[in-house]
Amino acid sequence: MNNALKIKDLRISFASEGKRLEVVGGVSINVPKGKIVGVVGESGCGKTVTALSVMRLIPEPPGKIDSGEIIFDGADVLNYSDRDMRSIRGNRISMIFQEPISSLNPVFTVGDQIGEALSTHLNLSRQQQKERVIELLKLVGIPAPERRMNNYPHEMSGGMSQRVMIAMALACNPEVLIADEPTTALDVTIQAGILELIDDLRVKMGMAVLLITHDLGIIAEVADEVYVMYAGKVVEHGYTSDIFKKPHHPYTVGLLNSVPDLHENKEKLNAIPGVVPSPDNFPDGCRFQDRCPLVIDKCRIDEPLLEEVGNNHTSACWRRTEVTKIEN
Amino acid sequence: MSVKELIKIEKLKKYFPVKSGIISRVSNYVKAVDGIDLSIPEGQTIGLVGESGCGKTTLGKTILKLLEPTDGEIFFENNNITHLPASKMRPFRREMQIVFQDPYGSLNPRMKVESIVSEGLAIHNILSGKDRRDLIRELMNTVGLREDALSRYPHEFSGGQRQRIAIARALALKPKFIVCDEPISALDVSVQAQIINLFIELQEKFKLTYLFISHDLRVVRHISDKVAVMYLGKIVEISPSKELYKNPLHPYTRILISSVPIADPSRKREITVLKGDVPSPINPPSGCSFHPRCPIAVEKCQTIEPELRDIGGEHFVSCHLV
Repeated sequence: MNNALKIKDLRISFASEGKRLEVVGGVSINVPKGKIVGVVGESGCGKTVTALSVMRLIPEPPGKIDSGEIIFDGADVLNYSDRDMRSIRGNRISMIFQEPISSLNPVFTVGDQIGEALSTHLNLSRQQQKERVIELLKLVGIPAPERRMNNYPHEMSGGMSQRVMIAMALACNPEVLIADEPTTALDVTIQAGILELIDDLRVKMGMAVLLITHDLGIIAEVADEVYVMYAGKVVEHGYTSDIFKKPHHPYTVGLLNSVPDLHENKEKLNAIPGVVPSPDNFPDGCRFQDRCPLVIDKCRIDEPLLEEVGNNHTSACWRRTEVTKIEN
Repeated sequence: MSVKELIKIEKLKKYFPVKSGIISRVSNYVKAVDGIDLSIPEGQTIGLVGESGCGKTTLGKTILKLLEPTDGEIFFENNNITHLPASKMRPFRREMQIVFQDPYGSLNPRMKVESIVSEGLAIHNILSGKDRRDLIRELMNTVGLREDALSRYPHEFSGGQRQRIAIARALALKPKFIVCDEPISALDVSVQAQIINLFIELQEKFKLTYLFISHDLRVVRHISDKVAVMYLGKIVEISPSKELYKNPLHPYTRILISSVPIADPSRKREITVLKGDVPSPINPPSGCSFHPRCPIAVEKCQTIEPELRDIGGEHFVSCHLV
């Protein structure tokens, strides 16, 4: 009952050239209250589509949620009417996107845009609304908020725009915040500040955060738990410290090894060979088989399911017990 | 010095005019590159790091003379190429190539891979017919693509494969020097490592010299012999890469390095969050241009501009307090 958000066996497909391609194939993710849960994976692994489905923002058609449940506050979000969904979206569940500059409307001031979230969901007087906007801008660390609220998005830098996006997402004190690559478009120096801000707000407001990223460094910094996704499936899940210390899936190991270290010397990076298979071309059995150093015949026939490998730690690999960090 | 300098630039400046008013009078300049000295020894890699807008890309393009320098000198193998007219510049263009950040935008979608890779050969009239095709086939193998890729179009390839095509195009003219402008930022993590390894292999095989521009400090450290840190059009610190990461001296470099997330949850780093944004390069702050954001700035920093000083072991830094 301590989960703020529970995604259960979610399957999503998209229509493409007369076929239906399954891009999310049975994903289950739990986001406990007051925790940051990371989802890591490469482009095309289904992480953004999963996040969008929680907000019910998948364009239908061509997209379609085939099965599964998204439990929020005891009810399945997928059964809500559009009207009910509108009252939750941006209010109790909100989302920040990767590209802050293109996510803001260029013809309204940032104050107006934050105000829109407030006036949609809360009944505030003009004066109250203005005060709340200033309070929010202050909360996300924007200097001189009284002046800044009258700025247009083009007058702000990338880091500032992302702060505005966060202020907008936080406007109604959401219980769940979905952050889809919130710092990918920003400089490292700004990134550190934004991550610290998200973590701070989580503590202050008791929010649950679903953080989607491709950067394992970010996961290591802020996430309590991690889900590693590959080709539409969760391949490994566990507490952050366990995943980094003792990964049990060859893909996780590959990801960890392909990042150069800031302080140690490596002669050559251990790249994962090949590329992610596309959804119209998923192989039978394990989807990682063609890139996996541990592949055996069984992997090409039977699909491995998530199995327990430790405390709250699961891996979908036939050779999960043999995987160690060095092996790759 | 026993190592030959392939590229040398002296007091290089690139200003972009800012026009305003109804008659578009030039009212000011964006000082994208503001007096940079740099030499790149043959066969080595210089990494160039800094926040967006600090002038990294402009510096790379100006060295290649894709942008006309405002002031200063550029030498390629001791030939001053700064003021060469286009016709005289041509033989040098063969020696200097660039790989861009966005493999989706930098390949012409209407050209087949074969035409893309051989365009440089056609322009410079090198080889023809079968010889040219053989060379291109060989290049495909070198960058790890199949030969049948030649008859396909760019949209049929993934980001990593496109970047391999862009690298093949750069290599076709057998250059000595390649500017790599954020060549891996648009790629997936697992593919990034493949491309970095390819760059390193090619360097060994063809004795290439790189200027490797990136905002990813981890990658730069991995690939570079020396790293230069840029801030608002100037180099604030330059040193052999191991030394720079072990012993960063400029406060900006320290903050940059401390901002990189470490993929190890047990190692908690000290985060110094940088105040504010990069100031406008139109009116850079007086004195040391980093002083408004610097955690240790003193009065002197507001008025006197620090010089890039040698502090031994090929480590140079411009800060009053070092």
